[in-house]
Amino acid sequence: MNAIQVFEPVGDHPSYATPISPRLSARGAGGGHGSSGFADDPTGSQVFTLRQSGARPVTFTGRHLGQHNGYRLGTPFWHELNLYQTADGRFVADIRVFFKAQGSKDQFHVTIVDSLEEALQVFEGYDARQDVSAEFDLEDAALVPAELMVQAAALRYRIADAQSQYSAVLGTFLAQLNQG
Amino acid sequence: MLDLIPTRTGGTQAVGAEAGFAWTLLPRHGRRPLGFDGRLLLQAASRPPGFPVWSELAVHETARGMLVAAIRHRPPDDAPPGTGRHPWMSDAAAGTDAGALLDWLRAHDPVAHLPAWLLQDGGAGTPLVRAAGPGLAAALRASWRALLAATFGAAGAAASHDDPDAGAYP
Repeated sequence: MNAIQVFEPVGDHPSYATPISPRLSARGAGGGHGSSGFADDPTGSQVFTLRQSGARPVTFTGRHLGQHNGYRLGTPFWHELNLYQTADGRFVADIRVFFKAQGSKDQFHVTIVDSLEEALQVFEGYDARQDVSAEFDLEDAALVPAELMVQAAALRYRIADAQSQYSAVLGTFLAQLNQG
Repeated sequence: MLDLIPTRTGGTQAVGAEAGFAWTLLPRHGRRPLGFDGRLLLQAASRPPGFPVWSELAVHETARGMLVAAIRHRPPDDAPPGTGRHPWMSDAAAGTDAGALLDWLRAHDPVAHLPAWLLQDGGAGTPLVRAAGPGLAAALRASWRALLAATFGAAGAAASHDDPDAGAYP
């Protein structure tokens, strides 16, 4: 894999005051720290075929730039993030969701974009709430109000948990991209 | 005169006026990492025996004179297999105001982004109830406050940056 530069530079302005900073930068090729230039270097290119949910697999020639798998004990599902660059210079963001429960279908989200920045925004914009399913039926007449409240509370924490779990995976993934 | 020496990341850094500074990358929860040329000023950790979470903080100085504070909550080294090696939560913030950074550290809730299942104790009670009530969540928050107090003294334990004692740092 290849190191790329994906970070927010510490500049003249405090970062604690801007939880969502407009100064985010994604630096692909160019000067600065580390090395890149992978777009011009065919070494290491190979053919990838990525599974997509609800669509045919996508096949391309390119490079695998980074991966992070967030598997942990105790969670009903986990995310795996992959970033590729195609031989023609585009980027492929691959978000996989693996479920532990039998019968659950793993999800494979593949997005092809023109720039590294767009690929990063795909990862950053992913809403992990979609990976949580309610384990109760609101229309189930057998559920008394107290049970509905408990189920609703459980669903709320599972949604928050999914978001936090994805954020942890994303943060580690983005940091590791810089290390190749 | 500046000389260039190799750094751990394979780049180079200037020797002389900037001696001791190295390229540093700090991961952040759900966000792109902070990157800067800096050097570590201090680091401290809370690793209570039997706790499922180890908490760590660090303060760096950038070559341009800013301060960067970093937080990390991670599984203990002796965590059960499958718990994962990577932190449950990492964050970092930069600024020129040490007091504001200390406020940022004090405002941090070590429980906020931990996995819900971690707060379950033998399955007693829902994670939501346990997180909101006494038990591990309270112990983790107390441990974080103790870490700040041990690291920054009275300023770390102060309730607010406006507290007169906060002026003691640094």
